[in-house]
Amino acid sequence: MIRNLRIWSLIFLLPGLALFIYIVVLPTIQVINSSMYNWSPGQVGTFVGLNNFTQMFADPSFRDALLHTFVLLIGAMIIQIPLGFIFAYLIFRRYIGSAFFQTVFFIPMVLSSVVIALLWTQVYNQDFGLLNSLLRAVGLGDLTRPWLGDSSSSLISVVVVVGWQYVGLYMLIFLAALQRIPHSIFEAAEIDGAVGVRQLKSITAPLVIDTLKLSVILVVTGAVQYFNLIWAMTQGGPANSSSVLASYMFIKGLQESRLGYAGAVATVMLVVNLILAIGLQRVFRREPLELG
Amino acid sequence: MTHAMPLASSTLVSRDEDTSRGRRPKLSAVSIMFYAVLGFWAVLSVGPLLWMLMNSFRSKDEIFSAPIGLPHLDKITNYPDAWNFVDLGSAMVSSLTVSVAAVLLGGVCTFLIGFALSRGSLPFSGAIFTFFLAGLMIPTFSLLFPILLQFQSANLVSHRLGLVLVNAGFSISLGVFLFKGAFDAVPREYMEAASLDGASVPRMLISLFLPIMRPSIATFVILTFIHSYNDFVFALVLNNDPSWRTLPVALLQFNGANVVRYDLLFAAISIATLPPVIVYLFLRKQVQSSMAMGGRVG
Amino acid sequence: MKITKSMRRMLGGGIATLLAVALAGCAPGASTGGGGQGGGSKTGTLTFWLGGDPVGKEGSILSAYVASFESGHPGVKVSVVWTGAQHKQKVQAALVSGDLPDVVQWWGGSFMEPLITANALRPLDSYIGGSGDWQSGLIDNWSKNYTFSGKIYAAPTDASTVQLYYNRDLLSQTGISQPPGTFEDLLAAVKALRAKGVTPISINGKDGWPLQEVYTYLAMRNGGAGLIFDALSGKRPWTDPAFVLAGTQLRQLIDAGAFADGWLADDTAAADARFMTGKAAMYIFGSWTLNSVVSADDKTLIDKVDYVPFPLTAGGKGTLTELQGGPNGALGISTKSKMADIAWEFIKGYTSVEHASQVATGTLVLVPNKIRYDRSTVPAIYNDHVDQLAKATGFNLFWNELLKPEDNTKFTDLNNSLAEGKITPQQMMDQFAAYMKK
Repeated sequence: MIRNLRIWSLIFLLPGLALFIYIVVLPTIQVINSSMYNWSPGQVGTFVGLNNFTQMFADPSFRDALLHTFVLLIGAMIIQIPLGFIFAYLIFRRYIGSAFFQTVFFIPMVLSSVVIALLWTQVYNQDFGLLNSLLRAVGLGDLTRPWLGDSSSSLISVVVVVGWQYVGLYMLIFLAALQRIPHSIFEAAEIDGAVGVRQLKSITAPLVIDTLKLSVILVVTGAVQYFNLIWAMTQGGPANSSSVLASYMFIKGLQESRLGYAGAVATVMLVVNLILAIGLQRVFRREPLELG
Repeated sequence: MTHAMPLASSTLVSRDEDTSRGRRPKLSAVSIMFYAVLGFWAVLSVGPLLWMLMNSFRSKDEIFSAPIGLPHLDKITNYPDAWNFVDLGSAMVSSLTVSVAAVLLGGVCTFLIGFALSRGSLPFSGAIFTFFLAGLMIPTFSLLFPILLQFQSANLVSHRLGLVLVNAGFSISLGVFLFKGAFDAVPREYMEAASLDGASVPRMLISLFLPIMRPSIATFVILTFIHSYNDFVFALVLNNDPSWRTLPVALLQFNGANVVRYDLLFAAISIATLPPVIVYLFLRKQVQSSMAMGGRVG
Repeated sequence: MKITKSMRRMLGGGIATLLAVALAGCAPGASTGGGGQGGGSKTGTLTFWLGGDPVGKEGSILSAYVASFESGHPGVKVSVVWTGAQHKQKVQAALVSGDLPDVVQWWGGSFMEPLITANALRPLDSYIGGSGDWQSGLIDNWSKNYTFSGKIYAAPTDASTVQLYYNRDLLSQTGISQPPGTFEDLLAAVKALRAKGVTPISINGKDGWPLQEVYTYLAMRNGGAGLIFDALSGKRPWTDPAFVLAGTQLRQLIDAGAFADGWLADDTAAADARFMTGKAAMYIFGSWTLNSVVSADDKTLIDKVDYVPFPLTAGGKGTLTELQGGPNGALGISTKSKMADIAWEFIKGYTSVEHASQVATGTLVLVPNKIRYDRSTVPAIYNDHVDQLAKATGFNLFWNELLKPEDNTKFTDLNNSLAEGKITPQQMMDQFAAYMKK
């Protein structure tokens, strides 16, 4: 028996537990609590029950933000997961230079969202932006537009940047999954004549399905609180066309000093996150995911 | 969630060791198509960055009148100008200090918790583990205002320690997950042998576990560091002292207000981009496998 | 470990516990305010927050002022914090955390109300009462925008106005010899410029407020300067024809292509650059843009640029001497300040006619003081601004300051929807009227 094991363990547990409670648990409770109060800085809140929530759901700007959050989530999924998989597969097949591509695709992942936002705001600039310049150069001048300033293109322009940033990550995740597949399986398949697309479909895809599921959950739960990039690029505009739950909460809390209302928005983010994560787990439950 | 769900532990197989899988398909129509796809995305990945570098060596009127153009070296003055414009130097130091401290604090806390939950034979350790993991389900952004209020009553607003606590606190769920798994993977006999030698628990942690668990530690360090270094909204709201504002907050000075210096903007984001890219290129494999494992960060 | 299992366990236990604790929680809220008395400490560090960046003359003028203030007040150190582009967010976060600096830059009108209701700013009446000389240096009626329940909470530093700037060369190249004096002129000029392929008006649509300025200028020209105050006090409805007509006129401008392509994405920098590099013929912006005009790379720009007051509308009740702007930017003292007396000394000096004259001529901004300066040292266009301000017969505060922040969010949404053609002018004001009724 190891001396004082339990006592040491208890001591080890405490600092982290205290920090976790202070930074994560108490604020979470406070968010849910504050959502039921009408409350602004310097005042003691008055209890209003679910009033903030009814007000919120009646607000078209909130419904826009919720809708855009889902657009962001689905858009990010559509870009990141298929491209991530395709790139991983191509790199896995070990063409010459695949190490180069692997390195390059991942570069955007190490940059901070603010840097990416500042860079892409210039790329999308109406007058001297890279995108419009290229379009004009190849004779597609008709397509030029103020990408972030046109409410019909602002959200999708932001989603593209989110995709650009994270494709490298999903490529790596799929690559790691592909590299876990025993090599003998591929050899056996090739002997059976399964090559190319058939091999991909019958052998590779089923073996990375768990990774696919996990990637979906990652994309979804990451998108619910997406903020930094959007705030730095558009602040949710123009005309709320790229607002999401997080930017809506930020505006209500800071710009309008409505802390209880912002708490209600935060609670919705919390619940949406839980529902999506747990819901997806249930959908995927037939083959429970192994975590570690 | 900021640190999303960690993936099954998976170190990427290194290319050099993996000669057994040396299938190199010959160049064919199919492979040319493959290269086209990969090449296209490679251009897309680095194109904007190269454009940024080029424009960082041009004057603002040049940029405005011809967006794509050759850089010229005498405009290297953009760099010192941008550096002074928002004091990027002290911003980088602050980001670095806060991130390193957060990594240390979060790392030590979760390393110890990992041990306690894996080897401590504590009651309810399964439930406690689940409790920590539940933190992964919380969108940290939603905690912004309550944390601000807590910090007010604790006098932590505008205090570096506040940001350190936030970033370390947000790393706990991930750290507990990583380290408990890593402790679980160490054979029990090792610890028993060490205890027969009369080693105390702290001694065991330092001389037995710490070296074995280097890969998990590296993963934790990289993920938490990148997350803290890139954090923007908490650094913006929780710190009112401009003498140590962090890099993302300082950079946003270029966005909006009455600043028309696009030339300095390009130089500033180039400055902000280079260190992480260089570090990444040096530690490529480690960074990649950590990120693949940790999932999406910040 | 299986996620499914743990998640289910967490759902069952964790959330239930959390909810139970949350529901049993108590009213949130911290005493940000309190105090209000005291603040007599004569030494220490006085913290001062203002937006913007210490580049250019603005920074050096302030540094000189701080240095002379410090030498006149031994034991006092002034810590100046330039909060940059995020000033409003920073102050609002500080308001939540009760961490306001001793002296803070803020704006008047309903925009200031959250700070007043949070009891975060100190009434200045007792100080002002004993500062007759100081007050005589300010323009008349300066305090209206900072007065709440009969108490004055800030001292003004800025009296910017919104104008229609134009590039003489670009207009005359298009065959327009006179700057637009009426809305019809403006519309005709827009069409003529578009036909020539010149961008008519640059405007920073991303920031929200400039579009509101155009809208409210139109409404003000239609209904006179009293219109909006009447609407705010309930004497006239928000659905007044003058408002609805302004919406129709705004749409006419937009439909004619008045604003630069992509104007909704243009921030100040982009809109500024467009006008200053001669890529747009006109620019609707605040008077502080004069500083950009003189410091533009194009040194001849100052000779090409002039301005007119926003044009009149046919049959409107407004006059050209009614302006959007007037006393807006201001300095207040935190309730919690331990050095409130010193803070007042600082503000008094800063807003004194001597210092304001320096700021005004140094950075070409309009100040709410009866400034004394040598008219030959500044461009003629600046003197015109000063004279215009002195002769103004009515002011309308910037729209985003006139309204409470949340009401302004609503108005901005509606105004943007109108600009995008999603709602009609009538729908816009119907919806706003319904919103304001609540």
